[in-house]
Amino acid sequence: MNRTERISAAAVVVFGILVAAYSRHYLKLGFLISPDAGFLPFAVGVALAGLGALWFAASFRSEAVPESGKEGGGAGEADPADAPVPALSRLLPGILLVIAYAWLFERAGYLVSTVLFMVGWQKFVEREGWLKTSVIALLSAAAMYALFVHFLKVDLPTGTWFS
Amino acid sequence: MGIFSGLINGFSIALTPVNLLFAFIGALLGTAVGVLPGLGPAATIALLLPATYAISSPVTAIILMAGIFYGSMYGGSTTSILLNLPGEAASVVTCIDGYKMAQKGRAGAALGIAAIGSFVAGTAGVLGLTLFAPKIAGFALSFGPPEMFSLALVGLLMAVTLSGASVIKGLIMLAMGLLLASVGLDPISGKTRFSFGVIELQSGFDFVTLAMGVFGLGEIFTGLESVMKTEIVTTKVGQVWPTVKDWVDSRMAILRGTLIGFFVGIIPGGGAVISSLVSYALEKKVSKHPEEFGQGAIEGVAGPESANNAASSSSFIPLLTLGIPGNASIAMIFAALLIKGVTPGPFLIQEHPEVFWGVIASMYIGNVMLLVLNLPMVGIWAQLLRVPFGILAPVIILFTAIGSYSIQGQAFDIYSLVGFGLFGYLLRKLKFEPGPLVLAFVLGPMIEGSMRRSLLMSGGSFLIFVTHPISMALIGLFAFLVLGQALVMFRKKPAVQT
Repeated sequence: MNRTERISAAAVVVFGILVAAYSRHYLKLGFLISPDAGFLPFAVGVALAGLGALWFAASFRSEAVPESGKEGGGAGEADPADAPVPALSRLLPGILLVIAYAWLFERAGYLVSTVLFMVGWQKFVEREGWLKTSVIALLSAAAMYALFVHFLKVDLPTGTWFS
Repeated sequence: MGIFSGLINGFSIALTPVNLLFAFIGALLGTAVGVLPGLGPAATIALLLPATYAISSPVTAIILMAGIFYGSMYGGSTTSILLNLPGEAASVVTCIDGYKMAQKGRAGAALGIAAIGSFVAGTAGVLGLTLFAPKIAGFALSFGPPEMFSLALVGLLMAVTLSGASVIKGLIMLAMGLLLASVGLDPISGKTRFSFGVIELQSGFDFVTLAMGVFGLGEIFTGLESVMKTEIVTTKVGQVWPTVKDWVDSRMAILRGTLIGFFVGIIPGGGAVISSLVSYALEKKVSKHPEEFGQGAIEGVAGPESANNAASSSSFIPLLTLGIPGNASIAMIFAALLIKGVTPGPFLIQEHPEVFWGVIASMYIGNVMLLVLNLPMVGIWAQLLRVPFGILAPVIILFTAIGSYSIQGQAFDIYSLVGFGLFGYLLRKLKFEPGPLVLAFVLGPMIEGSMRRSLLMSGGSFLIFVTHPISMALIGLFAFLVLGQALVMFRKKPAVQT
């Protein structure tokens, strides 16, 4: 993980510098007696750059010492960060389906986008059969509709494509 | 009207069938909202704000809203313990040991002690609200910008302590949280920051969207890489009544959590999240076996759950006596009161005693209802979670997406949600704890506002933070904690530091 950590740490340094530069040039720092909009973001950017550099340096120190085990709560024994190859076969379609749902939500409306999302999830992520997929998709879309529209009185989009 | 006669009057109002029904609906909804990840109390109360127009009595409307708020604190522990998904922000810390207990087959004990601690602390909090509201509110009123800034700093350092393994990563999370909070309109100068021409960004990121993305979607994405989640969802709840040893181990944690929660909850900007963080940090510090924290220590569940419930009760003090909403959920209740033509503040007790005492009395009743809903029926609530990950995951995604959309009715919030979900996934991959990020995001506007106002007051001198006694004491505590952290870092092996 050290290589990944170093790349991430370097990215934090670069990001911090960019934030500080943007804050100084576009938001303005003001004066101590009247700090302007860029004052806090500038300080945060500088802090991020410094912390990223510390993280980068610390990753070299940790290389010499073997890992002493995972601390804290986290996601449990099967730590995905330790997996040699990410299980992209489920993760990638899952992420793409969520992005597609966000894109479709107002265009195709709640009902179509939700049914399509659930069908896509059951077929491409869970690899379920058509019968189970159809039942889950229709039931969950109906349940969500009942909850949000009838119970919580939320106006859900009907779809710009159909209006 | 004295306290006793006021309370009698309050009970006569709260015990009417209509108010009892709405207190029950509020407690039920709140528990469900707390159990279900992705839809927090603030978002739910916000969604229900239009319903207050349909409820004629302001007391009834506020009883419903208050029930949702403190009910969610009870329910929030369920998903934290069974699913490692906090139902709302104040239950983040419960994940650490509650989830470990569930993995070891002690989910029932964790859920039981959380419910009992919540009941004890919630009731004690309401008792404190009844007895000491004016005096304690007076103390909180004396906090100016320097004190608020110092208090927020201490809270954030506690959040870094929470991140456990890595102080550097915890500080990076704090910085990221502050940065995300600064996106949008600067409240003092009126300039827009980091919006890059995107209109939706001018109002900044919504807390609910950020929390649902980082915690809800981030966890789902991480879960897609692992088959372990199915086993977690089907974890047996078992016996919920704690054993004698559990009682002995938890009693002082509940007491300390109640006290911390009560006092932190009074301070605007404090509230349930900070109190649970402070309680966890304190329990870890005072424990004779701190190494068990993070591995399923029952004090790590009892303390924070007690603290967040006591805080949810006491956070009504600044609202009802000073007219200051201390957190997002209380701000929603503040809005509901205004909709009903009631202005919260020092005159509320005189002008609308039925609202003040009616709400307080309903909180006593609501806490009893919640104990009944949560302790013997915890298995039923857990059934909500006994759904295969393949069904639960997309349903949670739909819930969070539609929940995000419903806040402002714009698809941009769903894109933000997805972005925060991917960010949360990356954080988990790199072993970052997202808790400090969310806390810094919540406290960001207060930190920046109080810092800038303090500098204005002092003519640009940072000495103002050490010349005000309360602020100086808080800064002293801050320095003490920094030195303590530095000492811990110095003594630890380098591998643990990163």
